[in-house]
Amino acid sequence: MTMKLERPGVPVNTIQVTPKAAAKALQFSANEGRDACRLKIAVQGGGCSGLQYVLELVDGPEDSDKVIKEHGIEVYVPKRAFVFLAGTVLDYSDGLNGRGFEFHNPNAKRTCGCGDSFAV
Amino acid sequence: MPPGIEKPDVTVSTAALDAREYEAFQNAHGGFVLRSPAGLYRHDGPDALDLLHRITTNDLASLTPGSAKRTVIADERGRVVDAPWVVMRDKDDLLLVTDLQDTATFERAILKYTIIEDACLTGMEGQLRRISLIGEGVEPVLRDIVHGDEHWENEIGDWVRSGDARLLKTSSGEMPGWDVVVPVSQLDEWKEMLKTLLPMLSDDTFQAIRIQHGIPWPGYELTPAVNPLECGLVDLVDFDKGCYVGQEVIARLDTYDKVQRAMVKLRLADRTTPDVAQRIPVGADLWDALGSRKVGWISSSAVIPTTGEWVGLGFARMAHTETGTILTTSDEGPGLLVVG
Repeated sequence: MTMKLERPGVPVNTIQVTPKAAAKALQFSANEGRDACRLKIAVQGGGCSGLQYVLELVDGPEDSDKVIKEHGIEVYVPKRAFVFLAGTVLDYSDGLNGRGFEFHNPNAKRTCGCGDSFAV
Repeated sequence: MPPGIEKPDVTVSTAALDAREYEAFQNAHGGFVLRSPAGLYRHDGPDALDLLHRITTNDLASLTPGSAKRTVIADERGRVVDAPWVVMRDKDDLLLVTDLQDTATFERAILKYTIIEDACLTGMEGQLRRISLIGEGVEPVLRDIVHGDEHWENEIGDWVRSGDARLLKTSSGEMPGWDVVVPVSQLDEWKEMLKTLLPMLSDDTFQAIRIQHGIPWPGYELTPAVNPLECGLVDLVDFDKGCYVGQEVIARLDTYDKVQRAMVKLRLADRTTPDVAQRIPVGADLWDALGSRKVGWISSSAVIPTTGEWVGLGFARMAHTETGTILTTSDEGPGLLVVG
């Protein structure tokens, strides 16, 4: 018998943020004295595998950003980055061995050891 | 040749080399060549420098206006794509200088990582031209032209102003090199001035000189067949800068001393019997002296017109890179001597 591990389906036209990741983003946002959590998620060149994730608290979306609202936060994704991120789940891993924010990106064919960089 | 790597043509054909031109280079201890209009790019925008710092091997973040560094663009496997110069002309205004003939590959290597960055890559063939100077005799000539510019420190990466032109020191050692970047409108003026001081060389002669002196070249030695540690570019790798494309692989090779091969200079082992069939065939595999084990490949070769001597460059496994090692070619060609 073949076992097959499956992730819950994530629509490919969006990005999902887990409740844990949203709560952590809200906490960081509050620590900075922001009245709301507006999180930019993007991709830039760099890292061992060529592309690396960008997470940044911002004041609002730019014109071309895709806006996603989930678990009390607003997520902005630049259109040019969205093609690399569609279907991604942003999670948070805490504890002594936790890695902080984690991206589960179905587009990533290869990921570097630290998990911050990927190739498509 | 390693699988997947395109076999280059013979780097320099015997017929193309002019003995008088080569002799003039030897007598003047230097010469110059007009480079192809391609290979000069403006890379500007607030993210231009940061992007290159993130995707290439050297520490470019420390560049200041008026300085330059060479760096390696590697792929995700840590293999060499190109090794361009990055000149910071001003804040957010870089000039990239590449020797890679396949400029589409160079452009793709940067543009594929330009996602959200505010950076623009523009070919400068309409505005700038490049003249490469090589040889020990070049420096005094350039010093006279620059008239003792106070920024002249004679170090690799110098970016020296001379009127509207700029001088970039690209190498030192036994074969110092400079690039002069001039506005297109001043190319003829510079050419005529240099011709009164140094011999003008053809591309083929220039290639023969760089092969003779073991200078690796994009498309021949600097290819995705090797990593920067194998082709003599270790000085262009900053092991403390953090992540860049290919960093995990390159760091692992260095940490665990896993570099498999090195570039070697080659000569014919038997130089006493002139024979037109005795040549160093580019693209051929290198075998050990007994012909029992494949140990590398030949990447470039040329014949020195004044002596008829073949010179070559190639890559061999570490155990076969000592000076004096005899190697053979896979097509029952001549024995080859590793000379460094």
